[in-house]
Amino acid sequence: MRVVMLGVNHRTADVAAREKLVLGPGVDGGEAVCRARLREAFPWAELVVVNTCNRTELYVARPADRGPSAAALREVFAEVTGVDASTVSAVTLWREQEPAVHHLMRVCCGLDSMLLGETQVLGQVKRAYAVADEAGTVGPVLHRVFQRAIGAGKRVRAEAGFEKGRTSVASAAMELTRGVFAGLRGKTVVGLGAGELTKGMLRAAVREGAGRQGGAVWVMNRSAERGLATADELGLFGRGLPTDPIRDLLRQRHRGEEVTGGARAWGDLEGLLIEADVLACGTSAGEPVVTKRMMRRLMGKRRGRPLVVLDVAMPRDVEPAVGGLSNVYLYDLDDLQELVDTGHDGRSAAAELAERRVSELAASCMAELQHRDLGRLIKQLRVKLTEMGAAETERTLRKLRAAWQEESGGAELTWLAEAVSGGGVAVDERATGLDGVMEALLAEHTHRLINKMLHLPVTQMKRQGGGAGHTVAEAFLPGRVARDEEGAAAHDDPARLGFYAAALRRLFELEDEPGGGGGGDAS
Amino acid sequence: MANPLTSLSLMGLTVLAAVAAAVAVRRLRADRAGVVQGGEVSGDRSQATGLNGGERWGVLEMQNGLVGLCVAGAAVVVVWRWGVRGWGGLPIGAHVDGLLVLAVLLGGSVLYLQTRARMGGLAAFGLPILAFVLLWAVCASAWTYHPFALDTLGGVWRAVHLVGVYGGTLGAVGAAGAGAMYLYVQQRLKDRSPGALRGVRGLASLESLETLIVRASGLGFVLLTLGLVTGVLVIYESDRVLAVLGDPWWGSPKVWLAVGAWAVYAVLMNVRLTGELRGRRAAWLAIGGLVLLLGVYGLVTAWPAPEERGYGVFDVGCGMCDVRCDQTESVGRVVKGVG
Repeated sequence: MRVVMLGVNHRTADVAAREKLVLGPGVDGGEAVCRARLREAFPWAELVVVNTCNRTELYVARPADRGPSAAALREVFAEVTGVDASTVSAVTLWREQEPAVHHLMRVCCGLDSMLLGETQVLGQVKRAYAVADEAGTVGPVLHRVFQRAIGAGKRVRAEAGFEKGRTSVASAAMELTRGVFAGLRGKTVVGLGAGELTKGMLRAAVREGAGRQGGAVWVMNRSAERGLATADELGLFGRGLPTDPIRDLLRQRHRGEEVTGGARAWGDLEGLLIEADVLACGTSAGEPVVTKRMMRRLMGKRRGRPLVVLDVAMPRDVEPAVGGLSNVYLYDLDDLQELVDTGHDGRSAAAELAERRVSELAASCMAELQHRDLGRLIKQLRVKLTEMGAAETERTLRKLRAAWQEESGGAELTWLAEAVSGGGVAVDERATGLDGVMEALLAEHTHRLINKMLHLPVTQMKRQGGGAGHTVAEAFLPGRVARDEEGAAAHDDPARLGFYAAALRRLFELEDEPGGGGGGDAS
Repeated sequence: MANPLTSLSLMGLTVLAAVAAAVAVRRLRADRAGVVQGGEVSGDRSQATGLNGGERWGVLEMQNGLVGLCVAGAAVVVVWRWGVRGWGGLPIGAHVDGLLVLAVLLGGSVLYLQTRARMGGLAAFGLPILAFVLLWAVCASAWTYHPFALDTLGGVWRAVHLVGVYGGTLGAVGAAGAGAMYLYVQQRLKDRSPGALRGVRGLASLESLETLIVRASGLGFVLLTLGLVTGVLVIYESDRVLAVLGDPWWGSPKVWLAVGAWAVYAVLMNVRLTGELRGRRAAWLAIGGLVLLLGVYGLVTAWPAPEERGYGVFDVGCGMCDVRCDQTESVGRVVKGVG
């Protein structure tokens, strides 16, 4: 099988395009429809749909010689989202084999996120995997890939320090607020939603002085409990009745100054939109939470005070038209991305370390898949040859029996039995008479023949153990494998190796199962 | 005409100010095109402006050096002219002196703003005005020069009037510069084109600019009020109000424009109390206020009515006062001058 990925993310498309390509959650959402559609057309394929604020990606494991192809996946994507196929082709990314696994691992580690090393994406991948598992679209290949990727996400985060990068989006957001406000002291900052990006921005706002000198920092979430928990996490001491607006000023000593703020009930949204100077939006709502009509109505009550809106939600929480209102400064993920892109150029030591580890882990995961696949292929081949050998042995036995019975009436068979026993050849005790002896001899012959045929590839595969490319190459193309100075086998052409594996399966009519040959990368 | 040396000096200073303004605008464009990181310039910016980190610093030094030369030169000319007049009374003996003092204060303000974080971009708006003021000073020196009739004013009133008029103008110029910068920064903050937001990092915040508009307008309002009141007192004192402004005196366009400019600043200093006039509107008001003020100056220079009735308009003035000129009194004509 081959592991492929088709998706759109913040590097391939702007917010407006990504918004259209979001596969909504839920039973009737685009995600479920997409899954059902692919299941119907390609029942043999494994599928996981990963939806985060910055990406919509389909991970598929399929037999090497069967669909879905990239074109078929794009077609389904276009059909489900209602976006024309040419647009989908223009903005989607296609990854195959190791690059696909590598990409998933980068996503899990937060290396492909705007916020370097963010943890929220790992939870989103876990949820996507769980949903797909529940829907029965995950098989052995994607099980292994996702478990390894999730493991990599935890491991790489633990090994690399992402704190510096984690603040990059928040810093960019604060940079934009500094374009409007001289400082955040005395300003009211409101966070809609409780995602990592929103929390990061609220933290940065508190560091900049928000919540002091008459200002406040408020968290608003549809789930009041989660809002309270977030306020607590941010040190805002959100306490109160979960279903009512929390009106009391909740104070905490922060660097010697009081930080005012806490959690507010969702129903108080309009009130907060009047109070807010900075609005950080990051909810998972499918529809805009803040509309132009609403803001236009509220701007009069704001008495012309400027409002900075930082919309990091996907789909966006704020209608783009809101940015056209006077004294409203609306920025979305693309704008923030523009300011933080330097944090993702691999310049930081943490990012470089993480990238190295992800590459190693992706190669290891792919090797594991391929090793497993080759083991299975050889096992299938052995079974196939054994079956063929058994059939031929039976046929030969029948012929021998008939021929000798006809010529010697059985006397020659007695002589043969004595000769065989005297020659020290082990004969099954259960075999009685010459018939049993002949059968055992032929079975052993066949077994030895099969073993001889499979000896070289099996031995070389076992010796290699790790490197996927090495295993495939030496198992099937020992003459084509070059060796470097240290004696390690160098990679052969992965596409060719995959082709030979697929050819073996085709020639011997073997069922394709997880693993596959080499990698490829196309967009 | 004033001393030819004055005019020549002013021409040189105008050229310096114009070059400084060009440099400031180039710096602003460089900031717009990209942001220097770690001493290196992003590809876009270097392609757009050809400036790297070291060059940017050199450009800033050059700009400040040119402004410093302008300020010092203007101050030297004022002091020199004052010395020529015998060091008596105020250093402002004619409109050209007032404009030079204005240039010194404006240039000094620009230099001061260069030391304030994110305020450096204001130079791109302040320095062209500086060049304009100096160019005007050249005109006031070479073609419309007439000394003020300083003996018609009491010492205190005269000082208050001159400080009010030129200080108020400085406030108006500051508010208008901040207003222009506000519009520029706002346009940048709203610009959705790729790379537009990068240069925002080095620019003053809208809030700071609005504060500057309000404070400069407040200063302008207070000083212009003083200038207007003392100007009216001077007019009555000289008993020439009808002769200069016509009958009725309050029907004169100069009076209406002056009152209009004054009202604009009265509104501007209070924009934060009214939601409707905040932000962009305040910026436009600040610019509009300066335009009105310039209109007043223009009318004072060009309005023909009074002199056609027997009174001469020989000098550029603020239009807020009307004084008798010693030189023209002997021939029975009135000079309308600033202060």
